[in-house]
Amino acid sequence: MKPMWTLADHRVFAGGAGTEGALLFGAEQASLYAIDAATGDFLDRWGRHGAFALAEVAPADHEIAAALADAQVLVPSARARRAPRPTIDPATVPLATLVLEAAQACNLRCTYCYAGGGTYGGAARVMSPELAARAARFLVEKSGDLPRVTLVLFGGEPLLNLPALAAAVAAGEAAAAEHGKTLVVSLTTNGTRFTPAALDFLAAHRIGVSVSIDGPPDMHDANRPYGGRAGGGSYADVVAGVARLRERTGRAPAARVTLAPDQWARIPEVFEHVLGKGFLEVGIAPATPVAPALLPTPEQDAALLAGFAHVARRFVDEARRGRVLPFSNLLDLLAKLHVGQVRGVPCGAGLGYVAMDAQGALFLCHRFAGDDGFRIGDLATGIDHAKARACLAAQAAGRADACGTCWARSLCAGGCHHENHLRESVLGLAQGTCCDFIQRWIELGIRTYGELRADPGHPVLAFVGRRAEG
Amino acid sequence: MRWATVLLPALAAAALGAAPRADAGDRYYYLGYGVVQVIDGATDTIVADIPVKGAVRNVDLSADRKYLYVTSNRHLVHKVDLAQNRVVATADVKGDGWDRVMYGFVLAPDGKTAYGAFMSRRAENGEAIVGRPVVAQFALDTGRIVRSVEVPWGVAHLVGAREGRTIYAFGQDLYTIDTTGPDLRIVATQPILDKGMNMLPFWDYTFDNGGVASMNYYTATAMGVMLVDQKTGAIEDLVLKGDPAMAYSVVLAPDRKRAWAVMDDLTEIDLARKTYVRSVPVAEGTCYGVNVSSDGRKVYVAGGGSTLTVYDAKTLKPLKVLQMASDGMDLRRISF
Amino acid sequence: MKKKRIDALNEKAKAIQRLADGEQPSAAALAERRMPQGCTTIFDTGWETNPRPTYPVGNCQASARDFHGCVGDCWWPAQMPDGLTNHREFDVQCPNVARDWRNLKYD
Repeated sequence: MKPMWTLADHRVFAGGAGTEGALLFGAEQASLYAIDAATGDFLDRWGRHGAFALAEVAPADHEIAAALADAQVLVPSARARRAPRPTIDPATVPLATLVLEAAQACNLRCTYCYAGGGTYGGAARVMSPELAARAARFLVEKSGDLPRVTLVLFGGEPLLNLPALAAAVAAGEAAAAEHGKTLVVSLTTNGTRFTPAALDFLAAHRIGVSVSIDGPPDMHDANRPYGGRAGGGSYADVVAGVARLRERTGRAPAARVTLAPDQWARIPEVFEHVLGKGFLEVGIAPATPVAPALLPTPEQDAALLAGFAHVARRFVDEARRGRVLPFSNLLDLLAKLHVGQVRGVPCGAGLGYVAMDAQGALFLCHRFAGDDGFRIGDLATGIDHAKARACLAAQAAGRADACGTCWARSLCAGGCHHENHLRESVLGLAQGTCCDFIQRWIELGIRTYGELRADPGHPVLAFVGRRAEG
Repeated sequence: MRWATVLLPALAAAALGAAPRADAGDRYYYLGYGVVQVIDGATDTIVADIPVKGAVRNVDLSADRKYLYVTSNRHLVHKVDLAQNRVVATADVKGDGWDRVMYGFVLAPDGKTAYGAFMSRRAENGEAIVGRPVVAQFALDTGRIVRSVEVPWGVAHLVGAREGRTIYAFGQDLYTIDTTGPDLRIVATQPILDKGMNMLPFWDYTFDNGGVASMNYYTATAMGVMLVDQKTGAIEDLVLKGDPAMAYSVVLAPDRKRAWAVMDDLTEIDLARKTYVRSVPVAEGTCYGVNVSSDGRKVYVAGGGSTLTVYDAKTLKPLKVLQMASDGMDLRRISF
Repeated sequence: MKKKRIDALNEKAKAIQRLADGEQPSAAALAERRMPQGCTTIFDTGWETNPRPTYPVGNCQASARDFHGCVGDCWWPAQMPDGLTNHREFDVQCPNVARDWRNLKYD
């Protein structure tokens, strides 16, 4: 029997501007190669065959075949079948990140809020300092051999409940010291509550801060008005607050931008505007479709991608000057591509990443707080691993076929659980409505990475590599 | 029990206590940018910030252990009162028309002068004039140079020995300078670079080690540790066996049987057997400086970035990470 | 030099390539254990090397932690502000690189 060979699942992308040849992406291993035109032709020609014997390949192409075999893109047919990704048992994963919904209340009423005005359903309520402290100790104690744990102060608006935040951080620091671990604390805020006491707290504990800001005043104020009778936009207060934060802590916060589909055409403008306000990094998230009105049209999806592509182009231009344009979305994607990350699961939800609500109930992730279907235990009894396993299995159900043949599977692994849940279970859409966008976005990342790589000594790649590490 | 044995030391301590002084125990001095931070070795907490103009580089301790002289921006020398934790005087080695930079700094035993290795330049009619590199003795109060000797190549670091009678100048070569005559004199030159040794001798821990300078270097295949005994002037050169551990600096354990080295990893060295014992990565990242408590139980790494990590010397588990105000050059220990 | 038909770009591709090289031992594999001495380019700050196979190999982790050591008063030609002539107050502008890097202003 002749040994037969098969081209493993791969994608060829045209190289970016100024690059010769093309980019070859190995889907199974997230490996990325630059290839010449002859190799591109070979892949095109033999990709249409199933299995073939090397004797069928013209001698002139043997060199290409050997190189592709080295790259594990041309594989013996017996090895061409995809290995199923092993499932991860939540019970075997130590706790690494705990998100505290310290205040299930908010002074803003953002139009796209997935947390029902910050409460995650029901009446506004806050976490007691005692519970917050216990939670922080829980995080440290359940973290196994991990040298570093992360406590995320979240809400609602967490700065509405400074006593609980202070109690959590104090208890977490004490427990970390006792166990010889490092505690990293971060906080996500709407930026309107940087009181002197809050600033003192953030400075004293070197807490990493993310501030929500949605662009120039007209956009931000349309998205993020105050609640209550006063109403009105929050832009001026946020910008002033960020200035005070920088002044007091000496550190710039990260910006988190959320945009509704009708705002996506303005992404380049939003990015530049927010960057100019003195943020360390700027990340842009399309609003989660909490209501049908927030579901984008295909044209809007295209505008989103065009906006990101525009900023990516800026990134490459800056990189050529040795500078890192701090666009969080792209930096994260480039870091994954740089490593060639292969994920069996889309995220850490329920696998070392857990959220706790104001009453001490634990959830798969912060976005599922208040949804009993995704409740995985409570602080008193600990994480219910069986429930976490069931939640994750339900999320993965039905995706195996589509994901198994998708070229982006290694990097995506199924997408955001919450986004999928909203689209499929709440809005009743079919599975996979995000896939097209995700694939295009990853393709954009691959092309951008290829362009950066075309200049081999590229300093920005060192920065990206460092980000990939941790 | 005889009361005198209990009371006399207490009375003596009370008498000394009349003047302000630092409490007994280990103090660590984190050499930062615009600041020297003081860490109490009992609690491992920052107990004082000493504002200091410039980027701190070299330090030396006065013979009475009351003052730490701190050089910054390669031309300022600050006198820090260790009881008050503040700068009480500053001298500048620039002046007399020359723009000088100083690499290496050691106090002379007279308490009034110090030695520095200088490179210099000045402008004349719009032309740059570059001075010959020198090792020079200068007045601590004015920064004025008293006497100097030209060295063939610029020097990176100085170590004083034999009560200041000898100054070792480390650079491309090692120059031995005799200070006893009216002029400074180079009396010996030993090759370093030509022997295939790559050395970055910025960190030597002479006073921390109780009078022994410790500096590591590399050959193409190994790491070596050079030890200079301040009292006798003897230089010991230990070549360690095995693949080199990468380190910027090496400090001796108090028993001098072991040493600790740091760069990306913290490495324990057995000096008697000339081997590496074990190594752990420093989670916070690269550090320039390493030190060890006077009881040998805790190891400190800091500088480079803005963290200070305290390790249990036995388990090599981190006990604590301090976030410092600035990035740093080194961490020095003074035991009171 | 003949241009390679296929060139590993990311870390994963390089790891796969190394695996392939391992099956056919070459001179390149022998060269890996050499310790680089002297300086590096652009953002690879300093002479220092690191045998651990993480990124960035042969460099400080992270390079920000070696920034001040390379500024001006050290003599390796890393691409850093020159603290002796043109950026003498650099430490005031950016005393803590991880925190203050956005304040970096030099050409």
